[in-house]
Amino acid sequence: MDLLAKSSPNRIGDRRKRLIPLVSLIVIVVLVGLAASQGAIVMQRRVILALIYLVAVVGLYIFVGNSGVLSFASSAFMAIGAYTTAIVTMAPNMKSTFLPDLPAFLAIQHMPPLAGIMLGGFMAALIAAVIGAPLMRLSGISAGIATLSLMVIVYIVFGNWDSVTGGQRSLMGLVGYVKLPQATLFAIGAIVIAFIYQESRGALMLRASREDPVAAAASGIRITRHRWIAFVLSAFVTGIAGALFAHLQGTVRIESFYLSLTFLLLAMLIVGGSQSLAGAVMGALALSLLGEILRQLERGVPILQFDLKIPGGLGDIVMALCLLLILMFRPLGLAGGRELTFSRNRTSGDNG
Amino acid sequence: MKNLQSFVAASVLATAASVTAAQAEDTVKIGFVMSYSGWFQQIDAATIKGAELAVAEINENGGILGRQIEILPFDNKSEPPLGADGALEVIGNGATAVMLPSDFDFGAPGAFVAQQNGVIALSGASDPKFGVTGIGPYAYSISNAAQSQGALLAEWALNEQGWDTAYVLLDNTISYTNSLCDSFAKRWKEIAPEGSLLGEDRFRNDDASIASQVTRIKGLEAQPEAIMMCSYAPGGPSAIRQLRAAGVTSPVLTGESLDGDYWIGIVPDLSDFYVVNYGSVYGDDPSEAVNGFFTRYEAATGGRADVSYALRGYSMIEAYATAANRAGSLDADAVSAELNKFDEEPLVIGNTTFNEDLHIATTRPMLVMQAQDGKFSAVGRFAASVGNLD
Repeated sequence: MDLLAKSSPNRIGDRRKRLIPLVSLIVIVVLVGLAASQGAIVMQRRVILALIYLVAVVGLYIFVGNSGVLSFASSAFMAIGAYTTAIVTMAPNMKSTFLPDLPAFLAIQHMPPLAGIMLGGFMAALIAAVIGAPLMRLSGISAGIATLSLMVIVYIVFGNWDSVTGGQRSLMGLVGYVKLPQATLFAIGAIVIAFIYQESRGALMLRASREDPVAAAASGIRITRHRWIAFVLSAFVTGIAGALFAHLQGTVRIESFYLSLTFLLLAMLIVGGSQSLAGAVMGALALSLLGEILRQLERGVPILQFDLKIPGGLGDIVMALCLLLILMFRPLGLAGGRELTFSRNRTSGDNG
Repeated sequence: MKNLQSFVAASVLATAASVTAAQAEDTVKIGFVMSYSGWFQQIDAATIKGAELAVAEINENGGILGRQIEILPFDNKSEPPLGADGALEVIGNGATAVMLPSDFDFGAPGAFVAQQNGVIALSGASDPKFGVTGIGPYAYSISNAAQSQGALLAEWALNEQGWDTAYVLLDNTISYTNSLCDSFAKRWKEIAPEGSLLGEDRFRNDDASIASQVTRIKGLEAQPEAIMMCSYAPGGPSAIRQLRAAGVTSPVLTGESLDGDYWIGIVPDLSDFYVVNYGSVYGDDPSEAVNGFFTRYEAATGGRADVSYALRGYSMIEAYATAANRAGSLDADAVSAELNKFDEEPLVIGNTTFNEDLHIATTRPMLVMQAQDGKFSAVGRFAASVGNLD
């Protein structure tokens, strides 16, 4: 196949074609950003939040989509990213109020938000690199459970490490750095990282191990090593999502980073389709949109002369129902394991 | 001709603009960015109803600066981050003050937005950080600081009741309970003889059993004459039940987080239980203003209040209206300056004092309620002698 492509006069055209899925996803994100910029401020914040979820889901996809191993650690990495940026970017006088016992070398830090966000990503990647080394030897359900316990451990440690995280108390006074342009750019950045990675040789080998671990190992693929790379990269992107979340809210609270967030992100990935980047992006946007529609309906929306209003709490049920229906009738998710292409024979990706 | 046309067009536009502006200024808008649903709704519901009663009564008496008050509700669904969205929305719709949930963690995201937009934030959070140090000069809490509630209980137990020994049992899952028990222990050590605080222990609200903590109390040489327990429902009532079931009969003291009798079914015939709150809902409050308030509250809402929190909602609006009327303006700086001048201002919740640095009550008296044989009654109003917020 490779040889054919090289001898073909359309070689450059083929290479361009490989970029179509990436370009179309970027176009979608830019369109979402542009559409939102016309909306009211509260609507803009909802869209920014959706874009941050998108970054987190793309981060989750880098590991889950390519390795086929389920991970519940998203909210743990988001928490690490959020707390890292909070600790290094908060103004020193705010830190003396909220974190009076912070070690001095941290208390004097006053970095710009962008540096804090990147540091948040690196810190999450660092912790993933250390913990991932033994963790990535596990597979199947035990790997899933191990990531679940990682999430619980981070929650408990951050919830009780009073001197550094403030324990159960909220941290406040983060710069509200994340506006619509920043959120859009970070979303594009996450998509580009995920795309470049999934086009790489290592990711292809990892996907081979996802389809048949025994055959992959027999072909000389070092599964543990490639899973570890995907895990660390995934943690980096997810950590950035957590830091963005912190700079959108202006506050950080450990309760935000627990089961409900983990399940929301997983639901987004599963609804969209965990085996393609398009699935991750579509899932994040689709469930954010659905969640917002349901939220509006719970408040009551005047349609013609009726005031359409659903009972409070019904939104969660509808959300769960959607997940169930997708699992029953479209187990590969909305995207069905495919990337976005416009050619008739959909052979892009390795599942086509 | 063209000039005339544009002149007419411009003046029509100007008139239209001024008409809409006048309409927009017709009412004084107060945002209620509260938990109308979700688990925190239990705590906010009474505050909201109290505030609604205040709005109705103030509107009957002419409103603020002669303008009617309009409530802009927003449901944060018990999710603190949504509070920031809610504050932005109501401020975008012209709110000049925002009422936020009665907890620092729940109220802070919205209060922070209000502060940045130059709007007064009101809450019943019992945390002094809901004020100048944590949020900024536009944030005010109508509550007594948790720290002063702990000090009040220590002084009351020692001086009024003559209980000589105490034991601290802390549910360390929320910041309120931590501050409450810390300040009790601190004040107790300041005023009581050394060694009279027999011990300090911890549990978690979701602990299914506190058997080991109970065993440690039972193992003391002499049973404490008072147990300060800082917790909230459902873990708090469950812990009291376990104490009583194990035969620990010492009086149990606690703060406003266990206010109300909605949980008393868990501990049948509860006796020797003491809680500080803002007023009695049973009509036996020493303050006639409080009794009158709860009578009006019952008439307006059709039921007896479960908890005393309605007083907070009412007094927040009362305080804002008073300050705005005195300032003659809704400008946040002007209103804030008047609020800072509150010196023993008679509000329904009690005489309230604010100043430039302190936007929460510390030495305002609170009501001690007791439960004997499963029935609550008022004991009396007491105040902490010091307002230490460390």
